[in-house]
Amino acid sequence: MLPTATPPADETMVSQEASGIVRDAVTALSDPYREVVVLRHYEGMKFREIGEVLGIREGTVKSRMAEALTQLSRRLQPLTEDA
Amino acid sequence: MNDDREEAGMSHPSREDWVAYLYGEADARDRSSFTSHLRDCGECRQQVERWRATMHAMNAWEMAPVGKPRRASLPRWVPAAAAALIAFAVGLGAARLTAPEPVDVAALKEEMGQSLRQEIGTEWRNALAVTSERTYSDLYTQLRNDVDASTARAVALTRLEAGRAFGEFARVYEEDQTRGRLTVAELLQYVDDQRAHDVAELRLSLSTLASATGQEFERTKRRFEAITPIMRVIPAGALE
Repeated sequence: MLPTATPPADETMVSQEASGIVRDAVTALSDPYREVVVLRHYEGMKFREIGEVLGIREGTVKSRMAEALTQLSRRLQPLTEDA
Repeated sequence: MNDDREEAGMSHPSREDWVAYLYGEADARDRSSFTSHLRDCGECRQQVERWRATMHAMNAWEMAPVGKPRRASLPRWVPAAAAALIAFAVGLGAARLTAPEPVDVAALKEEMGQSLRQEIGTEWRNALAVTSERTYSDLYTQLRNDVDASTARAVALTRLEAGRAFGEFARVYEEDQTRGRLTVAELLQYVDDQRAHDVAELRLSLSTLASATGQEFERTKRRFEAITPIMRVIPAGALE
């Protein structure tokens, strides 16, 4: 069971900062990568569905996702190192 | 585990394979194989762990949690909606992601739904039409019931108001009538009084006139009587 109490103010601030970093990182991706990141990671669509929607092969979708994750790994390094 | 041995003899899953693995889309056989590979391959393990940490960090942005698809498997007509979704995705990148505020997932889903409804084929429109028809039918029934109830209330209120208004009118009318009757009576009384007053004045005037006339008649008579003897002694034609 996760705690339901309101997080302390400093935690909230850190969370907001992290949210902003992620948003900026995703925003910085070029369109092909950003599309698959948003549709897969945030919208929960399957790779196959994304391929159908974007008119590209499923393998291409996965390839773009891999590249996007690589780029995001660099951009989000401050967050992943803290964790 | 010996990374040198891995480099020499193992075939590593591709980056695409690991992406599918991390997002839970690898089939059971591949998943087992990849999991086993991770135990033996430091290079892949490092890669996968880095991506996994990145995916976890991405969740700091208020979005759907990884591994819990928010959307059921799409129907067959989804390819027909490709244009709409592409437009959505591009628009998402161009507008939503550059917005200062975090993306509102609910709003995005609504936006996506609107784009889909505009672009999908006859099947969906027919289904929507049926649903709408049913909805409108229900709404019409509900509305009609509401109207009936409202009308009944309005009628009752109208009757009540009419009754109140009539009562008020009757009361005012009665007051007016009473006031009218009083006014007429007062007027008649005034007229009567005025008439009496006028009659009295007239009588007084007539009496005065009669008195004056009588007095003048008496005075004239006395003067005539006074001069009559004198007239008798004056010979006829003496005054000519």
